[in-house]
Amino acid sequence: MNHLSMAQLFECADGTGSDTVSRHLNACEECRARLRAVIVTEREIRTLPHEHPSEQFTRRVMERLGIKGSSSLAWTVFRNLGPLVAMSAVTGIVFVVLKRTGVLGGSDIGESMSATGKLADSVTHQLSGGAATLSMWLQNLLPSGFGGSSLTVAIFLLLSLAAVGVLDRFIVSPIWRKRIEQG
Amino acid sequence: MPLSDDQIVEKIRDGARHYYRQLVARYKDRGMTLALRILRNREDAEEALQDAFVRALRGLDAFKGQSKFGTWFYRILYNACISNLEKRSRRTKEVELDEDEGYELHEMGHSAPLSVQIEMRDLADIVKRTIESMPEKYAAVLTLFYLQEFSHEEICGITNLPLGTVKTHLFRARALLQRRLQREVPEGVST
Repeated sequence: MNHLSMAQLFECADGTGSDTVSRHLNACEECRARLRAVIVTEREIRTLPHEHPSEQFTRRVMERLGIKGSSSLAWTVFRNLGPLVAMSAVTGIVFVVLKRTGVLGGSDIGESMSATGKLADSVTHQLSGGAATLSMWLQNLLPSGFGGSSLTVAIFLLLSLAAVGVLDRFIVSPIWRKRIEQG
Repeated sequence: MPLSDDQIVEKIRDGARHYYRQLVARYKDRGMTLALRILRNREDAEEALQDAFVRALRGLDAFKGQSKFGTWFYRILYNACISNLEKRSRRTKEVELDEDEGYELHEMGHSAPLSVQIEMRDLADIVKRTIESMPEKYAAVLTLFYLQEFSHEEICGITNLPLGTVKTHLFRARALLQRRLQREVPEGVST
C-alpha cells in the first residue's frame, strides 16, 4: 500500500484533504500517526512565544522620530490655564485704560464694571481669609518660629506644588502612558 | 476599548503623533519575531525593526488603507530585513532542500513506532531551533503563516513573491520541520 505523500498529509492537516486520502487514513494506522505528528508540530509552532525587543525599544523609536511623550498632567493643566490668565490680564489692562481715560464714566458698561470690581474685592477678601486660615494652621502645625509668616505660607505652597509635580511625573504620567500604550 | 489600527492612523494623520506609541507597542513583539527569524541576530533584528517603524511613520501618507496596517507594516519590515541581509552579504549556511531529495516521509523512515511521548517543552525547543536553522526565506514564510496568521495572499503582498513561490516555501518549510523532527525524535511525536 502506498502511503500518503507529505503534501497530502499537509492538506489533511489544513482540512483540505480529499475523500481518497480520508479513506486511506481510516485504513492506515501509520499514516494516521504521521498526520498526528504534523498536527502536533504545527500546533506547537502556533503557540511559540513571540520575541521581545529590548526594554528601551519604544522610547528609542519615539526619540528617533522626534516624538515627545504626551505632556505631564500638571503641565497640561498649566498650559490650558495659560491662555485664560493671559486673556484676563489683557481684559484687565483694557479696562484700566478705558477707566482712566474716562471712556467708561457714567455709561452702563461703567456700572457693570463697578459691580465686577465689587465681586473682585469680595474674591480678594475670601482669598485673604483663606491665606490667614492656612497661616494659622501652619502656626499650629509647625514648631514656633516657623509658622505664621507669609514666607512660610509661600514655601508651603511651593512645596505642595512640587509634591504634585513629582507625583505627576513619577506616578500619574507613567500609569497614563502605560494605558495609552495598551490602547 | 482599545483603538483599532485605522483609528490610531487617523489620529496620527490629524497631528496626534504620540499615538504612534500604541502601534509600536502593538507590533514590536510580533515584528521582532519575524525580524529575528530572518536575520538570526538580535541586534540586527532590533535595528531592522526600528528602521521599519521609522519608515512606516514617515511613509504613512503612502498608506492608503487598501490593506490592513499590519500587512503594510510587515511589508516594510520584511524589506528592511532583506536590505539588512543584503547589506551584510552574509551567506547563510543553508541546508537547501534539493528537489531530488524529496520530502516524502517514506524516505525519512516514517515507519518508526509512535511509542515515546516527548515532553512538550522539548518539542517546542526543537521546533524553535529548527525554524532558526532553516533558510531565512522559509522561516519568514512559516512565521508569517503560523505566528502572524497571514493568508497565502497576504504573504504574497508582504514578501512580493508569487503565490506559487509562497506555497512552495511554505511546503518546504513544513517538510523540513517534519524531517528534522523525525531525525531528532526518531521515536515519533505524539500528544
